[in-house]
Amino acid sequence: MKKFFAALLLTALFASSSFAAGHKVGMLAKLCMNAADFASNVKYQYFSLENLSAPEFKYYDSINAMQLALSAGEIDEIALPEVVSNYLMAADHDYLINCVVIMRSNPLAFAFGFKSDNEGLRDEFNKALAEIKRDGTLITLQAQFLTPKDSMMEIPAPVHFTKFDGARTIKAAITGDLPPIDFAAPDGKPDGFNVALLAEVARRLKFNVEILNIESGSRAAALSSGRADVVFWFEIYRGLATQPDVPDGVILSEPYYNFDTIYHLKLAR
Amino acid sequence: MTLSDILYKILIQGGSYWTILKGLGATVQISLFSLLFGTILGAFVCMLRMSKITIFRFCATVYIVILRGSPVLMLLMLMYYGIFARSSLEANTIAIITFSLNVAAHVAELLRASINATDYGQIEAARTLGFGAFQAFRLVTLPQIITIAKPVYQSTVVNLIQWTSVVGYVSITDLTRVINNIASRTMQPMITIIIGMLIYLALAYIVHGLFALSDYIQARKEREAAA
Repeated sequence: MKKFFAALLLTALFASSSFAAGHKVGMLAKLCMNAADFASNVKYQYFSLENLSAPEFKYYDSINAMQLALSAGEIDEIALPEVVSNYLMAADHDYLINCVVIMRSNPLAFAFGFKSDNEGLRDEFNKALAEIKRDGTLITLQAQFLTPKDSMMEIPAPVHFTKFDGARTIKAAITGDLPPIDFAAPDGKPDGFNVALLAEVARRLKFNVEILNIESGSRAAALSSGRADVVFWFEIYRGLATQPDVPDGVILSEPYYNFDTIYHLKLAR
Repeated sequence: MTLSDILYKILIQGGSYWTILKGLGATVQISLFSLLFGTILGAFVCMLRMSKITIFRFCATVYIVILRGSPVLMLLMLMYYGIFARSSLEANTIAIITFSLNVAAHVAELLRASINATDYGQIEAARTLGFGAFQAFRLVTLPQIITIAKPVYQSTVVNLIQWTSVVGYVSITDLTRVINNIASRTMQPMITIIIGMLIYLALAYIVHGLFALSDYIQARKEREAAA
């Protein structure tokens, strides 16, 4: 019996040491749902002077979870889109860029998600998005919300939704955990680039918006159950016909924000 | 940023404390109503569970087994995104229904254990002395049930407050959701989570204090009655 437990202990030790080997990078589950899809669709070249081998990815539900894993030493770096990385570095100076990944072959983008039988609303959104892009409003919103801030002590500008009497109400589910794209302002109101874009789409299509602030894990359920008509932000690979990360029964709007740069951040020790 | 800057950003800037208080209000509201309805329903389920009629006993047992054996988050998701998906009920109401159902199962078992712990002979003695069935229950069994059940009920209340932390999955901005939102916005998860934990701890101690107060009042009444 003793031998059995000794063997068990040795196996456990061996397993934990083999897991501990290699360079581990934390990634948002939303950034790429599973490693196989990611590896087959993206030529992810890892440029680092310290480590030339391909990293091992670990997936997390939120940036906060990744931050905690990083400070606990569970992972060596966290990978985030450039704008989010800038926000994090401004909020906490202990975060440094360890490497920059430019996704040349399959750049990423954000899109709104709808239930597959709601093509009408998707088409309306696409029309409004095209207008917003054409008249330069999108660039203005990007400049307003996504330009790196010098000081994190200023209160973010609020987003106003125009009220239309007697108009239909569209329910939008947001997560509030991807600043400066999607977050909750100090007064609890939804804020960020995505929310501002949604307010602009609503203003042009003349509908009222009811915002549901939900955990990212329940976004798919919110959409399929009809609790939400629109969900953002869905990350997609631009230029791919089939999107690996998008669940069945979900259709997407045209991409409204493109990004091809991901920063790997580490903690200054 | 210094620690005081971070704390200012988390707790004060832009009326953040008010948002935290509103989140706390949602947590307390859901907990209080669920406790009230859960206790009433739990007493009813306990009655069925101890009934002489087999079908009632069977139904109550099935209810308790399912509700106690399944995670409350799953039940909440099922209720909000499934059963009540097309209803006009507010998320808070659905959360109160869900937590009441869950608490009822726990309360039913807790009451049954307490009733079983009392001596049936006392009821027989009371009935022999001319007490009616309800009178015997109210004056002999009930005070004992309360004394036995109180400590476990207290931990059920504290557990309930903690279980409500999953309501963020159904679009309710409770204390946990507010804390998570602040942690995301400030990118300071560790400090924000510690603050959130301290608030939950304070809630648990308020519950503890209320039970201790009721114990004290009861003991004083007993002393006065004895004197």
